[in-house]
Amino acid sequence: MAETKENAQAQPEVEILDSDFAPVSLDELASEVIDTPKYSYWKQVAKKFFSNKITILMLVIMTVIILMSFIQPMFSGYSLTSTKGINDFSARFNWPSAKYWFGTDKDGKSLFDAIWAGGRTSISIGVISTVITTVIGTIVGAFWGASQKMDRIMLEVYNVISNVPTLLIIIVMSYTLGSGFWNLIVAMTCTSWIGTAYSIRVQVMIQRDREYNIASRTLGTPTPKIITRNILPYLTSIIVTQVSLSLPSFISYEVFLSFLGVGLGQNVPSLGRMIQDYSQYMASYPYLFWLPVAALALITIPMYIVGQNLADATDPRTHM
Amino acid sequence: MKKYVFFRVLRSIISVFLVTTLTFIIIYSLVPRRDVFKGDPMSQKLASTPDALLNYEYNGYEKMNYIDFKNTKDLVTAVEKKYPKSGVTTAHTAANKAILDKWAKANNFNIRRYKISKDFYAVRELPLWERLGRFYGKMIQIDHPWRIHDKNNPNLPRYEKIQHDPTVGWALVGSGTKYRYQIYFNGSFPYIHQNIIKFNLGTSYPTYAGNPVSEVIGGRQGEQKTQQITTKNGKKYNTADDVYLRAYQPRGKQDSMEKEIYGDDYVNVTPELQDPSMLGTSFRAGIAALIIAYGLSIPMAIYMARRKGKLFDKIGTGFVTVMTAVPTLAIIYVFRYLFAAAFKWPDSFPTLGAQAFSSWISPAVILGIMNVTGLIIWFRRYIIDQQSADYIKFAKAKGLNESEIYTKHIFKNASIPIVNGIPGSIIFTLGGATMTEEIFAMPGMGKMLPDAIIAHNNTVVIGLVFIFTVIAVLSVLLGDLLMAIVDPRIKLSASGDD
Repeated sequence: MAETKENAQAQPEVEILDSDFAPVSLDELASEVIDTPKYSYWKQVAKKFFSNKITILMLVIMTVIILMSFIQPMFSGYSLTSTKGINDFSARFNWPSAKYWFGTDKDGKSLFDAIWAGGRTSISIGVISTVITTVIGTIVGAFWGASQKMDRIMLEVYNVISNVPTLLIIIVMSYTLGSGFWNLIVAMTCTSWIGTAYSIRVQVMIQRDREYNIASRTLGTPTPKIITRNILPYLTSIIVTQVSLSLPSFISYEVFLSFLGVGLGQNVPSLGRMIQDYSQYMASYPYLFWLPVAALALITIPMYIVGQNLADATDPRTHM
Repeated sequence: MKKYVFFRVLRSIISVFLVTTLTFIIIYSLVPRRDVFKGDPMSQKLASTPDALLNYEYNGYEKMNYIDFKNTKDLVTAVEKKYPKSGVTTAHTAANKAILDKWAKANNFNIRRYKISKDFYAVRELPLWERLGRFYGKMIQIDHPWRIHDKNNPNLPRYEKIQHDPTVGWALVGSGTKYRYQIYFNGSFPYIHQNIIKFNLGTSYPTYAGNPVSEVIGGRQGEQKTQQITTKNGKKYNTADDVYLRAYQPRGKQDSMEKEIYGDDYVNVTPELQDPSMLGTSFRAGIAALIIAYGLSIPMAIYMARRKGKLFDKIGTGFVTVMTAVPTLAIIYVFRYLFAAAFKWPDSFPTLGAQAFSSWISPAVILGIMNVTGLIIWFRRYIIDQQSADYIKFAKAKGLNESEIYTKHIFKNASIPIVNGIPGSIIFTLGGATMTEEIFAMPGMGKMLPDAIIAHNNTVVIGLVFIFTVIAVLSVLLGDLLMAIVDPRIKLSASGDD
């Protein structure tokens, strides 16, 4: 077989003449083009991120929940202080039905409305606190890791602050500032940034003495530029991991504080207070207790999974 | 190494001092003083009699170390003692006012008058450094044979000797000391006990009013326990007294019956209670949780790492993800419900009390499960990192089989960071048990912290923070030492200051 093929190829004898060739001028630009596939960091991140089906599902759930919690309370007009229908006995303790999707509580208030209103508070607190701690933590951590002088002082500060119970700081702060949405955020973020800063510091220290940074420093690059241009891009995935961990933890903390009865004011709806208030109905009206718990889980799980997968996707090592 | 440990201990003590001081400052300068009596029914009851209310509140502040307060009677007594010839009385005369002012000026007090009766009283704001000084100055109390001075008992013998006591057995018995038994042995953990060095963390107020903080946190709780004791004269008695803690009672206050039972001056006894202390409750549940956590997570992490990417690994990772993401409060409720429904374990600690074993299962298991997630994540990570190490490839090339490599090489190397974390996990169980103890209404330290903060029990809060910090700092130190022992490659002293 192979022999016949060779013969077939050899058969058409063509004579090559000089007139078959045309002179081509040398293209300087074409020789400069690099013929490897183009690498765009963010495109690769997006590709990696959307390649996982569970992530997409979680992203959809997360978007729906966030939209619902911010839009639904606008229409439901749910308010903890409202006394509308409080004397209507027929509205009390209705099990979930077509009219009341999630049932009603002892004041005849719809649990469906309550959950979304509480969800909005929880998500807002989680997101705002995470943004504050991440921004402050990253900036401080970056300089902390880069400067040895600062390290010596900050390490002692960290040792002291990290040993004072967070619960104590939050409760004492909420005594001094009074309770309320923004006061709680101030109380929760005023020391928690130091944990983020510490973990960034460790990563910066690892990068700091790599050869490329020593070279950069030798060439006279100022420290702030080394931090922002050379080191921080490496920390993207670490920062995203931090964010995905701190979002649920802030939500969890708010829930716990509301459970203890400190932090938020009496008129701010919160999933934590709902769980605390309704825990007495666990046996008699279980939907009142378990639906807020389930809602809480549905808020935090997608956030965490999306965050973790985003962190994986932003790590350049996974792009190979 | 010795030098390193010495400096680490020194630094740890400084850390504890700084943390406690910071907490002290936070509490005394940031918490509004007026809030203390916000929900106090007594102060509402006294609202119609301003003088009595003022006395009540100022006495409260004095107990909480905010101020020094002297009501009319105390004030006059104090002035009389200082100026015996002045003939000061409680009457509202100009002469009295002058001498009181003179005294007040000398002692930094402010003389004020009650609203209704117009009687004099004196108040002195305590500066923060003085409160701190009092706190640290009285913190460590050492018992010695010259501690007790009783006017009515000038011939009190002063000694400390090891002898066989009919009541407690072999012990270091003291006289002239505050406590009768300085060192003694008994069957309860840690078997050797001492009464020589005592921590005095102040007096609890307004909850557990009047009790020493160390007693509130470290003293036993629950109902009285009666037991049979043999005393000096050989007679047997049934008593609820905690004989190990017999303290000196001044002659004037002694009870003749008790004196007959014990036959000496050490008749200031407190009843022995049957349930463990707050510290003990947290510790018991914590240790059980720790055993459960390590017992579950280590095999699980090893199996997950060996089957990386397979079904078991995926299920395990899913479990860990859910446990990390879902708020702790929800997790505790879910497991509490499941355990109560499936195994009929009580869903509240006080239902059966500390004496019933089943009360402890649910909280301990839940605490353990909450510890599991972090351990699995890290231990699995360490094992997977080790899997691709050169020495493992070498071992494989040499022909060692899977299980040999895992048990003899990977496990040992991967467990080094885990060993470092063991003392830290003990802290986590003590401090992190807040939610579990709160939900199960378990009388432990974790529950006490939020309770005390909310009740404005400043001294207890500071006491708890002090204990937490001591344990935390100690555990970091122990973790490092343990790691250096397990892995001879690690040299602590060479690693500089951190």
